[in-house]
Amino acid sequence: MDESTKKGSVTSLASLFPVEEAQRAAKRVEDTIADKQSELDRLRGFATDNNSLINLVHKLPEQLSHDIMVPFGKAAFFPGRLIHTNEFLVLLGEGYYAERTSKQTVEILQRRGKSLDSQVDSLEANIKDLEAEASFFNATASQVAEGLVEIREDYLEKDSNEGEFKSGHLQQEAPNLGNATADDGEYARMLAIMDELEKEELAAESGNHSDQNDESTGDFHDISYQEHIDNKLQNSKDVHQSELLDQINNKIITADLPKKQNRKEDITDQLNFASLAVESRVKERENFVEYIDPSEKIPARSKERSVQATTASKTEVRHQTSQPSFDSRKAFTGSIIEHAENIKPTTRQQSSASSQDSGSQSSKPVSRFKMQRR
Amino acid sequence: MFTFTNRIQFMSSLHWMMIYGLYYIQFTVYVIVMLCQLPPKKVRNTMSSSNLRDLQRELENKANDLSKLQKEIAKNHQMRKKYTLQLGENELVLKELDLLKDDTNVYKLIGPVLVKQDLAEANANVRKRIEYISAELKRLDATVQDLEEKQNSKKDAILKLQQRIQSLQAGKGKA
Repeated sequence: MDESTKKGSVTSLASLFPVEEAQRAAKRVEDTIADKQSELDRLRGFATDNNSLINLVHKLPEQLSHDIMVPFGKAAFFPGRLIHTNEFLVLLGEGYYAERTSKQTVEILQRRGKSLDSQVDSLEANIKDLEAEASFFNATASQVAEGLVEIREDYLEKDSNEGEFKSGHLQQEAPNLGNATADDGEYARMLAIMDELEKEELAAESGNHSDQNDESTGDFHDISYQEHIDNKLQNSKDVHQSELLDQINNKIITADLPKKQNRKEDITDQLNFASLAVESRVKERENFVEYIDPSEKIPARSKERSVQATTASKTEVRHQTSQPSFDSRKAFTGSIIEHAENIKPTTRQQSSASSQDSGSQSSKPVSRFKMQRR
Repeated sequence: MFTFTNRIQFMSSLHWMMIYGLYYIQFTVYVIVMLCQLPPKKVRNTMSSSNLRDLQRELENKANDLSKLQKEIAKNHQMRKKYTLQLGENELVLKELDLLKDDTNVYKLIGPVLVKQDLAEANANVRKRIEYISAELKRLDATVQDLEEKQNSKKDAILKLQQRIQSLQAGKGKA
């Protein structure tokens, strides 16, 4: 009996999986889960902003014009109106814009929403895999801490041929059979546990593989939005120039078409809020250049819409003013000459190039812009 | 000769001759042993130390080369990631452009100005850009593979040098 006891082997689970290593593995997986969770929150924010933009695009064409406060520079606003509310200039990407109607714009935004939703779903699946892996590591660590051990005994069948001690052997056979039964049960349980561990390890490996794909997807989002922010900065320069032109037209409007403006409409309030959001986002962008704010993109589109609307209004106003008599044409030309001097200093302040270069730049883009409108 | 002759004649006993002869033989053996031992040790020490220094210097050079290669591989990976993202974005733009109709007004943002552009021209530009980025990605993949092969060969060379240095140090310990 002593020999059979000595032949059995006891293996502690701690020797295979030390507690510290299991806890470290669980912590690493949990850190990865936290990163994925923050990325998921960011994508959900994008999807929410996209939905709100779709609603706004739906509402705009309901009226021919909306009274708004147009952002001018970094802190100033002046009253204006959105007209041509069914015309949108949509950024497709890589600096390409397309004129679209309201319905077409909504279709484009819905396609973007679908891609965002698919990314959100893939991230959620990835997080589930990582959580399963973390729970497995935690369970292993707790088992090791409890001091779980594996006991194995080799089964030895004794000879029953000796006739002198038949009764003794019969008595011994009963406990042997009992031990064998218990040993088989333990062995089966250990095999089942090992199978489960292997399955979980395979699942963890597949989870790791999906990690890499999602990381590349996330990085794609980061850099693409950085480029969009760069485009927005360029847009802001364009907005400044158009706003300068709009200031001239606004004065003409003030002179020729004095009207009071109603500010009670809901859409006007929404647009003002959007403009304020644009302004606050611009300030934030100056403070945190590297920080990527998902909601910046949506106000930029509203800025583009306001630019388009004001541009259209400028065109219409210009046509109206050009239709009257010869004397008013001279007056219009004179006012342009007068304000052209104001345009150059502002452009110099905005651009970092030398004065001559900024002067030439300010003249060429303006002329091209006018030619485009006409 | 005269002196020796006189001594021999003067000390005519066997005892004195035996003592003198043993002393002479012992001295000769000692000198021979010294001559045999000293120069090989010196020569061996000089050769092993110079070899060791040369090998260590070579090891440092190869380690520097390896670190340079690793930095270059990391830079290539970053460029590859950037191009991959640009490729994805351009493909999205191309998809949107394909959905537009021919009479759509398309504008290209050039600096601070939106310039009107033909839809076909915009389409062609984006396709050309996609082809360029794909070619760059292929070139970067080939470059990364070459650099990784060089890295592996450098690692093997470093391991061999380390083994040689260890064997030399062991030999020096024995000596």
